[in-house]
Amino acid sequence: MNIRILTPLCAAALAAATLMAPASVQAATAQELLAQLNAQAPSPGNAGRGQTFFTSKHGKEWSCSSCHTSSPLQAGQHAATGKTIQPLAPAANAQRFTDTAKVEKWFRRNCNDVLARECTAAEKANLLAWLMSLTP
Amino acid sequence: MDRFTPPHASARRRYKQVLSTVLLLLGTLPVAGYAGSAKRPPPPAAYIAECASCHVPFPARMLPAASWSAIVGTLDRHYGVDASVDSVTAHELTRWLTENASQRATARPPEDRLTRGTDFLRKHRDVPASVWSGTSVKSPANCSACHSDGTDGAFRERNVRIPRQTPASSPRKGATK
Repeated sequence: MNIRILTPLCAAALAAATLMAPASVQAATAQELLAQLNAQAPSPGNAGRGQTFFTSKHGKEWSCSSCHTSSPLQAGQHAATGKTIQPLAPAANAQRFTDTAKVEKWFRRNCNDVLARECTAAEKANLLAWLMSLTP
Repeated sequence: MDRFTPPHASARRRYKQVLSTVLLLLGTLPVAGYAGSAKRPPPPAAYIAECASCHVPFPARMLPAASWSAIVGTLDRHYGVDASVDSVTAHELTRWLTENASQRATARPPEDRLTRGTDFLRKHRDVPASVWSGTSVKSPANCSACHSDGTDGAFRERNVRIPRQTPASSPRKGATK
């Protein structure tokens, strides 16, 4: 095909993709998310409480650590399917807690699996405070 | 074309050119095709993001359309796990899955589990029970434990590697068909 036609087409496609990208991903940092949760919770996130919450069962079959292991710097394994789950701690996986919609989706799903309800802002703040305190 | 050339000669040349171009293009298709098949396009991004985060992206052809509709309709209670998605995503998933569903098997397997479908059971009839329960396999739905190309949706027999479970039992290599 004629390169004089192709080049502007490619440039237009690239520009469109670049412009549309921010709309589909609500970018954030773990620090920003923790600040938001701290503002919603009665008190700022407590790492110790977050660890206890993460490794305890809450009346159902699984705890958070059933899939994510009790050391979220490491990769986990899905309790039902066996699929590898990338580390949850931001220090081990920079992609974690950088997409607000994705974070909300997984809190919704996983809190329902572990607690049979949504997690409170205090629980989320504690959990994120603990995950962010972990270093390799 | 000069006046001595028969009028249909140039048309024949053009036909040959077109034919060779078409053959050349067909030859390149398997390289670009998903799962080694020119007929199957890759799954939509939502299928990879929402479904393949917990298990390999099961090929849509492994269940009938009725099963896929039922599965997407009950993602909040998905085989013991909450895998809920928003309604727009659910609609997109249902459309792609049902459009690419099995054309041969129309009967829904028990619990709409593709691992209990007749094709799956026939293909895996020689796999010993100890393989399924092994720690590295855990579940028949953990395709990539044995199918190194399962994530790509290919499932070629030559890419099957059954992991050893214990020193006592060593399942036959390539037992699946």
